[in-house]
Amino acid sequence: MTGLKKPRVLVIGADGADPAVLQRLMGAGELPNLARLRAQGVYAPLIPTFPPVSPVVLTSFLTGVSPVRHGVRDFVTKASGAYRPTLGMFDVTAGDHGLPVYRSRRRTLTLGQILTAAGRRSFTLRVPGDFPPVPVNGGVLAGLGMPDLVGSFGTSALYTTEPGAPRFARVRARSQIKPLRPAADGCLHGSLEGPARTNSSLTCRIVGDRLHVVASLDDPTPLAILSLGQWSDWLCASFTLADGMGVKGIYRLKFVRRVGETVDLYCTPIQCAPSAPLYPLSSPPGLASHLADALGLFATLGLPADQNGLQQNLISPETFLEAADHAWDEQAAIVRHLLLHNEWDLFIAHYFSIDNAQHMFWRAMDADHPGHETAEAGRFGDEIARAYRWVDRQVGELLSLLGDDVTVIVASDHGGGPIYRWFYLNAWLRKEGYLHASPARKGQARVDWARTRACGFGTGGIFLNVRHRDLQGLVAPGDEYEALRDKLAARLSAIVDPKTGGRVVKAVLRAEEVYPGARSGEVPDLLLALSPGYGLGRGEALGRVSSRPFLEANHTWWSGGHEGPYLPQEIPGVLLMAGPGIPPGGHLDAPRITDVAPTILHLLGVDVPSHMEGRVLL
Amino acid sequence: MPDRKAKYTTISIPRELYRRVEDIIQDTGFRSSTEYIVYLVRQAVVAIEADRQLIYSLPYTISSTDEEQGEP
Repeated sequence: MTGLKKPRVLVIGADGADPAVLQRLMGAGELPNLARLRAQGVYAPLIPTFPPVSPVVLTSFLTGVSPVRHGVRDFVTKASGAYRPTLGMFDVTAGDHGLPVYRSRRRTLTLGQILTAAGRRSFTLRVPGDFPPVPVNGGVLAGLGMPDLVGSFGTSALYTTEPGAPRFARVRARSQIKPLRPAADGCLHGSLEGPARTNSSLTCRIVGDRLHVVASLDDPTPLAILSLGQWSDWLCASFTLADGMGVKGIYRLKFVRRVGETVDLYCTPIQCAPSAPLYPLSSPPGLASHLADALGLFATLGLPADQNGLQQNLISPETFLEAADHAWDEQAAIVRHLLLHNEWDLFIAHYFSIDNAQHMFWRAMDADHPGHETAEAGRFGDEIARAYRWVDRQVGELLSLLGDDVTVIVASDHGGGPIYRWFYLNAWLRKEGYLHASPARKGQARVDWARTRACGFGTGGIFLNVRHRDLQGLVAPGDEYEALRDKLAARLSAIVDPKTGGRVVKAVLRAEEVYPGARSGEVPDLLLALSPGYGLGRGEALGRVSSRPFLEANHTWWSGGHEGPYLPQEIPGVLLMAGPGIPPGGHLDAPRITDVAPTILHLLGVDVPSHMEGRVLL
Repeated sequence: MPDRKAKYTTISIPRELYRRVEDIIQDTGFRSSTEYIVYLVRQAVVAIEADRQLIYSLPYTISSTDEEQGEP
């Protein structure tokens, strides 16, 4: 059989790519490469999991099983046996040096692991929820989940000589406004925050109309010279833990404002250095270092776009976009490098650009959105389309690098849509008497668990406070529990939005429908699916109780999304496949995300494990 | 009233549990039940602080409204 090429599959993950937006942009001729792919192969909307959030859906993509089997069930959930929110993607325990250790909740094999066992080679880059990376024949680069150096999903900072200035009144993340203190030496001194409450110095000096960032007073050679509005390259910071262990971090600075002697300097989240990451960044561990040697330093944070900074008015939308574009281009360079310089059977490259734009700029595109403003629409109304065009360009470039012997799959984990109105579930539960809370403090209230029968945590989850199961449980298991679930489901389903006249809640699902076989208390007792256009109020996932009205127009930057949560069939992603093994113009019968993994194995000629729930689509 | 300037404070645990802790620390290197319990609490605190660092920085949960940030 020599001379016959082994089948290969390239998967391009376009996080958040929505069938309706894709169709519209294809129709307008804006996505020529995706349109060509579609013409040469097959296309269908792709049904995600519930809840339709990236780490959950994409773990189903990587494993071919549903969330109840793979174990990654939400971004955030309620801690089992305690009244507090906890991360749903992975577990955190204490490790050496006072640092956390992260362990995936995923408990089924990934495509990369299955292919390794079959003697095949794969690369999986930046897939959300794929953290920490597991050993495979080939490589893995961690996706959303990979923290920054302080162990967060992204904590940026604004350094300023005027931390108390009125212009920061709208900034909600006050702790992220850091002082830059002028000193007698003529320098401005700030402090970079590292892991385990360590710090490193940030020293800069105004020279003419530029800002010089220097390593120390003893070494006058600038690390960066910035004009107003200019970004630095990646800079390095060193931190020393209490036991003497050294830690390297990387960050970029933007010189954002200067009036006289007043200076503002934006600093990205300080991230793990690829050469010696504090947290597991790649598999094999040397892969990230190799990439940095070959291509230069790169963003290692799982979600490198500073969505928090924009939401909290720490940065302007322009700064947000500049940082995000830089990160996407770095990722594209990494993909091209690994694709060209390695042997592989399966290559998975995941891009976050579309989802990022849809979350933050839907209001600029959609004139019906409550947050829509004409001036802003003129500046940012094209951002979502630009993100689709960027992905289309990546598809075109990758196809041009490969021969026609490669089967290409473009897939998204879910679509995207507007969030016109917020629904504050816990405020509603409180209003209806299911939840009791202490008086409001700065807009929030503390749950009184001794009197509370139900509280929301996670993406639409409702946990009942059950006797013998929860610390201060009130609801008796059995008939009382079932009666409460029935009543809640009926009353939630009946909520009508007086503003629109429509139903807010599309469906109320029971735990056993979504998570059959799961242990009581480990998953929500009920799960909400909202009607299109509604989103769960901010902070609700953390079990907070807002004192706002339970329905409210959305004027925030977070103006679009998929995490409503909505029923999977109402927020589908997309699936395009073309190349060897794919009949052009063929029909796909309502494909689900769990079908993709078995289909890939089939295309590669590898046996589909019997535990996979999905079917081969061809 | 606890002495807020003192480096240590006293907490109460059930005596029966304390005795079981005394049993299980035999030959483990821990010099007292207190030392072992402090070790366990430190581990739990590091883990919960790290967990909170993540969930309160998740872009999907961060408040864009005028309400207070951080844990309620």
